[in-house]
Amino acid sequence: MLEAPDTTVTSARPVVAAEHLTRLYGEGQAQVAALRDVEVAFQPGTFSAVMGPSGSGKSTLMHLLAGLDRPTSGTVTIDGVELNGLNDKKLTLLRRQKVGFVFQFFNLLPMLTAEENITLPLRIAGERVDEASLRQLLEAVGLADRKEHRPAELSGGQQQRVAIARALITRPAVIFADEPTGNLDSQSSREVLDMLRRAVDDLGQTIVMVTHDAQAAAVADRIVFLEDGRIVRDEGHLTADQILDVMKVLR
Amino acid sequence: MSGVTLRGLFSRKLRTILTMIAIVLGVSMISGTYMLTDTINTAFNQIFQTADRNIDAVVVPTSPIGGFSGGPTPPLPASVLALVRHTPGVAFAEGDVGAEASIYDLNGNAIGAVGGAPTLLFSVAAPRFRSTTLVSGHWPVGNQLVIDKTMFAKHHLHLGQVVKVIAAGPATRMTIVGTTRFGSTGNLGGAATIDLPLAVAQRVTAETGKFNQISVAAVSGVTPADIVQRIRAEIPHSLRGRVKVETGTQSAQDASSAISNGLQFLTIALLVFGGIAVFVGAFIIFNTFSITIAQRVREIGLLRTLGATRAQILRSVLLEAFLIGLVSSLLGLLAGIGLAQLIHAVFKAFGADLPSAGLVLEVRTVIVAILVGVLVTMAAGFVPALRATRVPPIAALREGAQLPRSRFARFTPWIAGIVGALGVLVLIAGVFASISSVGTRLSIIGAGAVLLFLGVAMVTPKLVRPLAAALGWPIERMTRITGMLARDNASRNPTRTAVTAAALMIGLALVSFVTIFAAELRASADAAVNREIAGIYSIYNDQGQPIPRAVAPAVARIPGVGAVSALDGDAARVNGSVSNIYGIQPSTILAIYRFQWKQGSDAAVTGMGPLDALVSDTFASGHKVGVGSSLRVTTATDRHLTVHVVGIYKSSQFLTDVTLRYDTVRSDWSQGQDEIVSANPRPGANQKAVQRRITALLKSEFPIAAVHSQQQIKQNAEKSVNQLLTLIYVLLAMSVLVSLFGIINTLVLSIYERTREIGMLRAIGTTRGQVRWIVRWESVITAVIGAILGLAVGILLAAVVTQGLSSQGIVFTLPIGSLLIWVVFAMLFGIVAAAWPARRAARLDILQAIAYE
Amino acid sequence: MTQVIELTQVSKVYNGGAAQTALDGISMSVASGEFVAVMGPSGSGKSTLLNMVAGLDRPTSGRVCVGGRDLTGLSEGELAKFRRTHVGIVFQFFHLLNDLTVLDNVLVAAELAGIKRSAARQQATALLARLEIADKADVYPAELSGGQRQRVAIARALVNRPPLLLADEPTGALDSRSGDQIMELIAAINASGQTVVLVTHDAKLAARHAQRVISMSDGRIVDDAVLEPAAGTRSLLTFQREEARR
Repeated sequence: MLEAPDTTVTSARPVVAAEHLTRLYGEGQAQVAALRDVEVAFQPGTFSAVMGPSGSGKSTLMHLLAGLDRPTSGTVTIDGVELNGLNDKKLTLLRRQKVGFVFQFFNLLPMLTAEENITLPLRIAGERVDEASLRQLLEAVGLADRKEHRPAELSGGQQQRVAIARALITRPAVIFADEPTGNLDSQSSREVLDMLRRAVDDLGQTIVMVTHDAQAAAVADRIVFLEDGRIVRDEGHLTADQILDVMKVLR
Repeated sequence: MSGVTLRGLFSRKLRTILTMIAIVLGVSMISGTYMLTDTINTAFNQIFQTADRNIDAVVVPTSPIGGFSGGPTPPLPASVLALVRHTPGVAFAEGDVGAEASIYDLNGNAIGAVGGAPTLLFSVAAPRFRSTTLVSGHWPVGNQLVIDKTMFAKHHLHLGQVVKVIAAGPATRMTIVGTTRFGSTGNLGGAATIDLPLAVAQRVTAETGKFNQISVAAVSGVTPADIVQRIRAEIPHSLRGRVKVETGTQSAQDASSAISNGLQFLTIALLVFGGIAVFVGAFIIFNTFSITIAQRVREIGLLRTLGATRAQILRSVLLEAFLIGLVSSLLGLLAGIGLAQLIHAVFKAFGADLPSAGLVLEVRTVIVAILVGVLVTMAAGFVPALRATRVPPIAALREGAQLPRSRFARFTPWIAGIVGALGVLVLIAGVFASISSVGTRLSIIGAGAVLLFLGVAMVTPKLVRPLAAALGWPIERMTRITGMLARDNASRNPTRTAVTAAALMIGLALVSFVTIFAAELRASADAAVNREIAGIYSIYNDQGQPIPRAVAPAVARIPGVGAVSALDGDAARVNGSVSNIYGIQPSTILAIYRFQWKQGSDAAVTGMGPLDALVSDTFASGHKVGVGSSLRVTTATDRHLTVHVVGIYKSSQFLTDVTLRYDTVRSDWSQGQDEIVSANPRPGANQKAVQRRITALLKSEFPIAAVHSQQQIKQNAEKSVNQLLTLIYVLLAMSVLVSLFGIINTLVLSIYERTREIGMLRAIGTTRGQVRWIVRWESVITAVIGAILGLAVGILLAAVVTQGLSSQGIVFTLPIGSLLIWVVFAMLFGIVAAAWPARRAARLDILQAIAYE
Repeated sequence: MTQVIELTQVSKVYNGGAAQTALDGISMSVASGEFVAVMGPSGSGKSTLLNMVAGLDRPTSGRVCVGGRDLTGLSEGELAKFRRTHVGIVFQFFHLLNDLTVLDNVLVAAELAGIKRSAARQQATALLARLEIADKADVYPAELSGGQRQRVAIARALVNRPPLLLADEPTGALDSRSGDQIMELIAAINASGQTVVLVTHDAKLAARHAQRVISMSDGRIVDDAVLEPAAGTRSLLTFQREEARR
């Protein structure tokens, strides 16, 4: 397998940390707080799930942690870099180097082959593609024989595996997965979750996954529950049943 | 449903406006053309009506050879005036002189209407017939003249100033004693006018005792029609072929329709360019509708789930096309007003100052504009509208639903091939078939070109991927990821890219065609000068006016000048058709001109008798005559003679139909002036010094003429070709501009469609700059595909047309350098087109871009 | 009691790469005034079932009758006209036309059905008032919250007074509070006599509002039960747990 990212060995400080994170939308009377004073940190090599009902603020939290959105107040630190002071260009370069993404709808480029989609982040960064590690990665995600296929020729599960490989190839400090199984059947969901799990166990990858699927969250080491923009529970590993029980209370 | 369409259009403002621009530009050109030419016609109409206001009848000379005779019509003899005056019912009749003339100050500087418009010389009319009013000074007596106030002011003249007036007769010094204005305000449609006493005018124009017009006033109680009848009855048979009698009103109408006939070429030419712009616009409409319908698949699907039938969807899209067409046409009409002024200004800049009164907007202009705009938009929108009806209702519920493929899609390459091949065949037929009418020939060639364009455009989707790959390769090498994504974006929807590129292709095909053709014209002019002109000095008027007969003997007297040969030019009816006639001096012509013999030799020139003729090969084959044949010649002075062909030369830019002896032309014809005088230095004389002496003589005695070296002849030819070329470029610019909006439109719509991809790219670390370059490179690739196809079609067009003109000495050439410039132009064009779309793409909000829905 | 929906042996096979059976010989009926929830995981066939009933898709075999009309023999155009007047559909993602105002979005459906503009306007305004968004009639969907958008979609679905209201995961894109409000609205509409078929994967939602729950799995109906509200909640949670364990 691939080498683990540096961050997991060199430091015990959190890979991603948020302090007093607040995000308001709109103005005046119509103002809505999507996130209120959230404090959370994710340690290297951990697999965390963020759960909560629709509108609880879990997507907003992920967007802020990934540097895709800016908080109304509070700070986000990724791998020791505080995001508040960064302009768009610096933020872009930071995402390029330290963050990987897996989206619900895969978001692959339809004209590129699986392999080209996977190497896309490296090429955007103008970096050379290491053929050996690419081959390893392709095998690890089980797409070695599909690398010349375009997204339209792949199943949903395969497309999501391409997306995961794309997130892994830059060996980012953290991968954010936004409902990665939301658009998959149960078989493909299991494959995708298994792959994320192995990335954490075998590579020491840090993953933060937003989901409302109890089975998906059950794969994580830690589950953070949000409701109305606040963290209401922060648990270790839970089974799907336990998660459903928590969710029932939240509703 | 109609409500949905309407409100949809309003809220998709940007898309709608971008789509409209494509039609607005073309329609503005068409309506602008009509407005411009209608305005010019109206202006001249007013001028002629004012001029003939108080005249009941006019008697004017008419040419027995009919039609366009090349030279001025020979004037009426004084005897006609006497006849008219003796006609019962004539209260007053006056003979007038009117001719083109040139005015110079005493330093030899021309005083005249700037650029193209003529200087007109008139005899001072009797007060009752006068259409000009004295503004200052007094009417002229003896060697005096009055001049129109516009010219007077423009050249900072002053009363009492002495100027030189030159027409067919001797140059005459005259004093300016007054200024005039025409009608109530203006001048004669941009022309400069001078009025001279009748006798002086006759002397200056070498028409002593003759008139160009007799103006008649009838006694009261006799109608103009009556007086015309009576005068006609008085004209003897011998003169009937040369005299025309008509009422003043008819005369004004005749003059007006002569002007509008003259404008017809301009009108058609401008309409053709407008038509091209509309044709290009149709591609853009087609593309925009195709793209927006593809993007609205879910919306259309939703309407279907709500119970909209296919027919309703079709009607709704066609209604949208109708509205866009209608509004665009109206805007185009408005823009046409501005454009008419602009074209006017452009023509002015190129030396054709056309008169304009208030802008004239005819009902016909409005109807044509609306019809063209609406029909073209609806026709272009029809296929996309049909495809919209094929959206199944279930499409509303599917993520990423696609427009179903057209049932006929698989036949497209075949249809494209057939249409393209048909285009080439029609083109070849138009070029090579024996068609007498130039208009018909050009229409057939045009139809062939349209078919060819459509065929190429239809086959282009198949070429997009390989072309994009080839063009993308160096860009990808240079830029890596941005180039690669740009190439992929350009080729992911080949039809869209193809249609966008095809719109540019049309403009660039025509541009490269004229580029090639102009290069060929320049080359052939150069070759003709090198091949045929032996004279070192060629003396002629740069505007193509004839020069006085006295020039040749005067030049011959200059020390150091050797052989001098004058060339006369005229027109006559030869074996039934009007032909160009050249008069040459056999004893000297060979020193200054090299005949390209088909049959016969230089000996045929030296031994040429007064009734011997040389003809060009094209004339010989056209009239089926050869050496030994006799030709029946009727001159503009109604003389008849029979001449015998003694030699056949290759037709050239300098000598075409029929060449006779100078003295034959001179004694029998009326022109009275020379076209060109050509001379050589005496052996051993200083060539430059001789040229200086000739220049000095011309400047002081004959400012109307100028001396040109062979090099200058070439340069002049080049200059006029370049001027025409620039004019055509300017007119084609409209089509190219339309295609620019086409690229912008396609890019904006594509970016809208790829919002989520761009969001993803930005999320995983693509900078704004990189996003901008992805868009720019896609635009460059599209534009260069258009340029390559355009060049290919342009070269094909040029090759075919050149082949058709090979008998005129036009040889196919490929000005690689100039053509490559157009490829570079296309690249820059692509970058310019991408400027705004790229900015929009780079500014997309990442969160909104990746959010679902 | 009249049957609003009657399905007889309805099957649907999609011919993608490999033939996929989405519905496998379904027979069922829904009576006038019922509030039926159709449940099941993704791919169980519940959306396909909804599409059949809505006249959006045709069965491979079997018979679909809605509001007394047999849809099987209808042409494309007849199906379109059927949809105008016989069913109102509410989608998870609202599917409003973003270019039209709220009122116009509702009016589109009425216009399609050929209802006179003044009458349509009256009906639409009344519906918007009943759904408590009358004040938003002239704004565009982009300015509305998810819950407000869904209300507009419901108004649109009801403007032609269809015998049947179909709701496909109507709360799936809403936060819990707006979701509850929407469900209460739908329940109230049902209470006034409107037949409602709700497709959802949310057990609680189904249990709280529906009188009858049809559970689907692999293209078949696995359970069809008229529920007491409390019992319903329990059994459905059990159902979802079983799903989770599979």
